[in-house]
Amino acid sequence: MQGGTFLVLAYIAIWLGTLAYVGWLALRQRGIAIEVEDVRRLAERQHNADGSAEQPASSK
Amino acid sequence: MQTTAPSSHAEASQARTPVAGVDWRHLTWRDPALVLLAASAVLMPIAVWLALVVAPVAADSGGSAARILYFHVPYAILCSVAFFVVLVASALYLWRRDTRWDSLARAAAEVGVLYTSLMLILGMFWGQAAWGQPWDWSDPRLTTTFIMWLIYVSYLLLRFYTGRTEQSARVAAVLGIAGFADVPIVHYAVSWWRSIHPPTDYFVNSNGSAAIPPSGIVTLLFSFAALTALMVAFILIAYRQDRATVALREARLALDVDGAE
Amino acid sequence: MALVRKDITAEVRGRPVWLASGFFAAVVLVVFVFALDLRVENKAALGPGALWIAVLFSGIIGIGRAFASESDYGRMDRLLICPVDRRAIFVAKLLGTMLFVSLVLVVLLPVFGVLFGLAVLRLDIIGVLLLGALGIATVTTLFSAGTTHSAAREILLPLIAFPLLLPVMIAAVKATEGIITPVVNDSPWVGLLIAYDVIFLSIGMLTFGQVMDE
Repeated sequence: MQGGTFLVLAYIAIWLGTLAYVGWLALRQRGIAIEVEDVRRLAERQHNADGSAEQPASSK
Repeated sequence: MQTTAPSSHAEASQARTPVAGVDWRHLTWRDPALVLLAASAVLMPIAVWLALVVAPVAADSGGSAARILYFHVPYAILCSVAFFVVLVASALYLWRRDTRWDSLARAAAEVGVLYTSLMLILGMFWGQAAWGQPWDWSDPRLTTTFIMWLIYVSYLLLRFYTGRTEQSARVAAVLGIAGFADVPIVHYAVSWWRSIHPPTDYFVNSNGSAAIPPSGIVTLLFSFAALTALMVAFILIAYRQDRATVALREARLALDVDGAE
Repeated sequence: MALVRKDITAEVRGRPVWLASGFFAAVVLVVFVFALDLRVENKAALGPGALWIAVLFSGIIGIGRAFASESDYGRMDRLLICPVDRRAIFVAKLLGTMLFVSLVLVVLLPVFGVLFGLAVLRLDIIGVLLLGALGIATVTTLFSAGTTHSAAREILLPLIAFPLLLPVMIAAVKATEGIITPVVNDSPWVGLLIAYDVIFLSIGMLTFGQVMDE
């Protein structure tokens, strides 16, 4: 029965580890989403600023 | 691959395109990462059930803790595979200078370290049950595996500390290649030196008969398939995140340059 | 080769770093004597390990110097402009590092022999020492070249080099132990040592140009 305890503990440990990695991926994903939003806003602001001055022929 | 992150500010201004599938509405069943995750989600409970309940206690060591084998072995094989991907991607990066290979090496190293860690944890629990101790430094296979783990952790730390310059990517690629020198040694450590760890041809007895009954082999196949699908999905996701990070950096750089004018 | 000669003359004219490193290694040995409670009974078992740790530590501290002096004056950039094969630069740097480690050993070995009362000035032990030193020199040369530009290079170089060098160190320590107290049916440690030297040397020759290219 001793072996059974170790068996269960071991499987719990690896699923916690896997979950931790999924959490890490999700965190990074959220960071990327925030950054996308940030860059998009920056781009829009710049686009509007350009537009008010003279319609630029867009960048290459 | 399908990363559609803005790469110039013209694209960035209409950046409602999903980055690495961040927008759930854009997620379709044509996404290989999702398919693999789903496959793994289906296979994994079956594999765990088979390993814990159905399959026979495979080895005469540690009582029912020997069932750890059914996940320990696939993890061990797959982490070598992941590090082989690191090797190939690093070499291709040095050869082709395409940063996509660099991203692949990063992603594979990350997942490889995860799998190695899980394999080590499983092994330590099994060791405690079977040998009365989680670790034995005099054992070559345990030692070389630990060295392999250290090498790839140092690879991740190098990537973390040196940022994203081309120079650091090349140094990391050299490390990704040189680090693999340890992996074959791990594999052969058991047969080369006296070891308390069972040999890798564990599944075949010395007289050529199968050491594990068919139901054990089936269990191994299920856990191997589930963990492979999970690993490829993880690598794919980490790879896309890295591509997105690179693209975002470029986009921001382009915007800053434009803004400065 | 001119490149090697340049490094040697710089070392001779300036304050010799190898001397300081050699004594540093000797100090590490003395620390070990007390830290591990070395006695006559266990000196043969613990001695080789202490010797190799001293070599590794002094080596890694001294080796950065080979490239630090270049990067300090932007000399590496000028060296790279020269129409020289990158591999030639690698070999030159490697030889310089080997020479440096050998000089450290010249200081270290007599100290070790006296402190531990072991006959170490034997051809086979020196051979093993040089093989191990070659492995250390190859890996550190390769990676110190790549990390010169990084801000955290002092910590990054050992961080990368130590795990990579662990198999080399194990083989070297075991080989040295095997010479001091012969073991029947020992594993082919010297063979493993040579194998790692060859592997790292080939990787170095193949990739050094990539690391150095600007």
